[in-house]
Amino acid sequence: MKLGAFEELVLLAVGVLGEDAYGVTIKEILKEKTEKNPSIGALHSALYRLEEKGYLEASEGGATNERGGRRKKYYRLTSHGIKVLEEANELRMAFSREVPGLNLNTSS
Amino acid sequence: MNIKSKPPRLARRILQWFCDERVLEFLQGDLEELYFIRLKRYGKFKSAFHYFLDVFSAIRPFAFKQSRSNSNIAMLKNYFLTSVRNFARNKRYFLTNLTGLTIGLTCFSLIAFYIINELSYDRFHLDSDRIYRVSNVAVINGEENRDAPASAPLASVLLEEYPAVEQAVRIVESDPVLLEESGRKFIEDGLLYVDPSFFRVFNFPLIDGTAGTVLEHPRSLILTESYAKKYFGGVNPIGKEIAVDTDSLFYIVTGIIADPVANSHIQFDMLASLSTLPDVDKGNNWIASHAHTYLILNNKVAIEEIEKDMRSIFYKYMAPQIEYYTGASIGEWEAAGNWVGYELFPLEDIHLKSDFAKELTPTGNLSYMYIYGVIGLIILCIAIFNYVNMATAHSATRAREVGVRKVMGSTWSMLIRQFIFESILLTLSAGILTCLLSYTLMPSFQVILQKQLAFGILSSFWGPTALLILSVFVGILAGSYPALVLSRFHPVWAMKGTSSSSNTTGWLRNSLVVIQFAASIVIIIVTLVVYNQIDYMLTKNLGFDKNQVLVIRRPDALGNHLEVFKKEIKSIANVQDVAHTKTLPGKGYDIRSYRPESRSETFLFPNNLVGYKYLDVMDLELVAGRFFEEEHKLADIHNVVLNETAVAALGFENPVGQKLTSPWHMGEPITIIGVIKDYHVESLHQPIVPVSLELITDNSSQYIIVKLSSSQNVREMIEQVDELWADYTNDHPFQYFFYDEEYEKLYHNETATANIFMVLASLSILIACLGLIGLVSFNISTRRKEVGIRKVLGASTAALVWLLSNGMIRTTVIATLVSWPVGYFSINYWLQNFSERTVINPWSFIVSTIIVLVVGAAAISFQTIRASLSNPIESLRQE
Repeated sequence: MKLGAFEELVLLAVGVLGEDAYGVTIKEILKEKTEKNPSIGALHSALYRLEEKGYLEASEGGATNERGGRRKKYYRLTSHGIKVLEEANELRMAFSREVPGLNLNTSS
Repeated sequence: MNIKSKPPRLARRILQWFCDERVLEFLQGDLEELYFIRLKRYGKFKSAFHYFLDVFSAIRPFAFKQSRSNSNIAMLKNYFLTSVRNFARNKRYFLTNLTGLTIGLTCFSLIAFYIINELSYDRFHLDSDRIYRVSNVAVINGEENRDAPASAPLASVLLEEYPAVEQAVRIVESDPVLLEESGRKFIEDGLLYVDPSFFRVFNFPLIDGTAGTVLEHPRSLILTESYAKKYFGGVNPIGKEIAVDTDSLFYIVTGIIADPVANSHIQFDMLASLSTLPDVDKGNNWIASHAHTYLILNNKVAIEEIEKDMRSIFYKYMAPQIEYYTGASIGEWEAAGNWVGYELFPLEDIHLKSDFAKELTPTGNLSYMYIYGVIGLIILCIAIFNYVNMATAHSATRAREVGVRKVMGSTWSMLIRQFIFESILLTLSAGILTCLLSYTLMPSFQVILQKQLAFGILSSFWGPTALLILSVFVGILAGSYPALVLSRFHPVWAMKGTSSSSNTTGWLRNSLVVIQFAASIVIIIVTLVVYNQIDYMLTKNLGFDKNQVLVIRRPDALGNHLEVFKKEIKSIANVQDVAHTKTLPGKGYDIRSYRPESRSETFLFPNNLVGYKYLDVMDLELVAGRFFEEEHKLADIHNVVLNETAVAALGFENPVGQKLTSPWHMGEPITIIGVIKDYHVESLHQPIVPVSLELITDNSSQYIIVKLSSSQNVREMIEQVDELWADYTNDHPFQYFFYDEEYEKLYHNETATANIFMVLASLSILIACLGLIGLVSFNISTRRKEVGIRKVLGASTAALVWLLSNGMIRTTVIATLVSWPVGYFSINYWLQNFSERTVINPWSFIVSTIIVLVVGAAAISFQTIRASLSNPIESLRQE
């Protein structure tokens, strides 16, 4: 498996956010979607890992006053990242279909 | 953006310390953004706390500094591993040190919390630095009276005539009152009558009701949260009615207030509007002073000037009333040396620095804070010395490691860092244990203190943070000297194992042990003398007998049945005598003024109103004349009994039969009929004062006192009294106490001190002994060969034990020489708090030394005896 469960969620979050994906917004959306509150340290750690693996690419900018004039690090999914998400999803779907009695259609 | 509310600096430092620059900018930006989001939502404290958590959550490999991280982290890892291995190899060494440091740190942090708690009194009010209490200070007949409360009308005069006074509030303590709510009756003594401005001056949070209107009307009642629960359970009490004592109208609950925090000197269970008592609220009595008056002053005002200026209030309002009561003009009165003035006392200083009588709650004592602080430091030092001792003694076992490291290229500073890291590791573990221990021990600590504390170690994140910082600090302090010793080893000697460290550091180790022992002896001396003093105060002949006296509160509930009730009690088997009285020694006396018939001087004496058998129940000694008697019922109304000091003040040679006048007798002459021996009407902190006793004629008695003839069957006797009480009072709550137990509460500060000292003394010996055992076992291990050879040559076991332990006797002797003078001076300092002091008994000193000697000898005996008994082959066959 190339992708951890938390990493997958982080990738999805970056995808959903589009242009505005950086530390704080990713943390907020993860909190909103999963109802769990990841620590900022764990999140940053995952982001750096994913960038290293080539699933994310980063650009810098957007310094604001609340950040004490510090720049943000914006993330974007790379094509590699999108592919790995698709693979992960396919794998799970294929696997799930083999479980008898698991209803896959109503969940959306 | 508010510049003040930046994230905590310490956390930012930590972040910058471990975080690589490549990560730092973005990570810190995110953290700061989160901090300000939380700041808006939760406030400063919580967001600072979360900021810390966030910083700690980021301590992960991705963030570590890249350039140096490889060697730095690897080095730390190596230090950590060596330390842990070293601890694991010398388990006993590790555990002894850990125990010693944990005990030391726990003592220190508990004491620190107590002191911080005492210092924090009354600082939670928003304007606490501008709030002052105004009090009457008077010199009358050469005696200074400093009472906390002032005259009731003073507040409104100050508000009107002094622009510097922004707000004023009066607090009047209520006597114990009987409350009745749907048939249930309680006697309450936590009721305060206050002005509506109470909530403008102080910041006690209202839970229900609006601050502006809760105290608007007479008979408004505000209950604390716990009392609302006590009276109404879960039902909303607002608007409910409560009958208070003999008042014909109900009080109405208008609000609920949070229970006052423990670090407030104003404590209450309920508040009622002062307008309920029109005589006090709108009255014009300047002589009586029972309104605790607090003012908010505006900033730019000189306290001394207001105080001086307030003399004009005295002349304008109080002087005419003094003239009325004393019959002398105010000029004459002042010429006789009398004086009345006002003093403004800062609210924040009341708890620890007030020397006023009649404070709302018992005050603490600043000198005790110093004593506690010093003792806490001493114990911490004993623990640190312990570590220094053990670590240097053990340095020989690390010599080879140091040698290898040096040969491999380790520098001096790297070695220092390693060993300090090791000691920090140890103190940090001790710190974590301390955190848990302080938390679990807090309840027992409060029992020892006999006091509730407002906060403990986990009340805010500052507690653990401060403790961790302290641990690191102690680690550096304790680790530096051993590190210095270890890092100085010459690699060649160290590798050969011929280190001479034990000789060069021996004198230091010995002097540290001497200091530990001396400190222990001082603490024991102080403990013994504190116990002596308490024993002295409790057993000293006070001039009256407080033993086997049962006191029943609030006999006014009996109404007209008082005499019948007393007669019935008298007929119970175990009862010797019964009397009723207005007050008792230790419960506060009123003041009455007297004037010898032929002279113009006025004398003010503390006064008590008593019933016929008061003399017998209290076992007071009559020196001349007679006491009040039933057969002289009518005459005795205008008679008075004085104590010897009062007679001396009046200057009578033959006091019995002399006439006095007093405003309380409307010009009717009163006659001295008896003189009693002096007795203490306050605790032994205060000297003997003149006292007058008069016959009680109205229903104002506060206590019925019952003298028992033996201490047997007390329980049945109380049950009988309770039944009688219920019959005659229509089921009023029956409240009683034993006088000697109640009297002991006057020495609350002292008994708490004694308890704490007892615990600290035992712990200091314990830590010192831990160190001693460590040292002795180390000593023995270096002298095993010597012991073996001596044994082979015919030394007896006793001689060997002596050989191994005589060093300790030398240590104790030197420690004794140091500690006795120190102990003597410290105990003398403490005894200055009392007007009646016990004699410092030389045995306290001798016993302290013996205790340390015996405990120390017992502690090391196991080691020395085992070494002396061991087979010499064991120690000699190695070569």
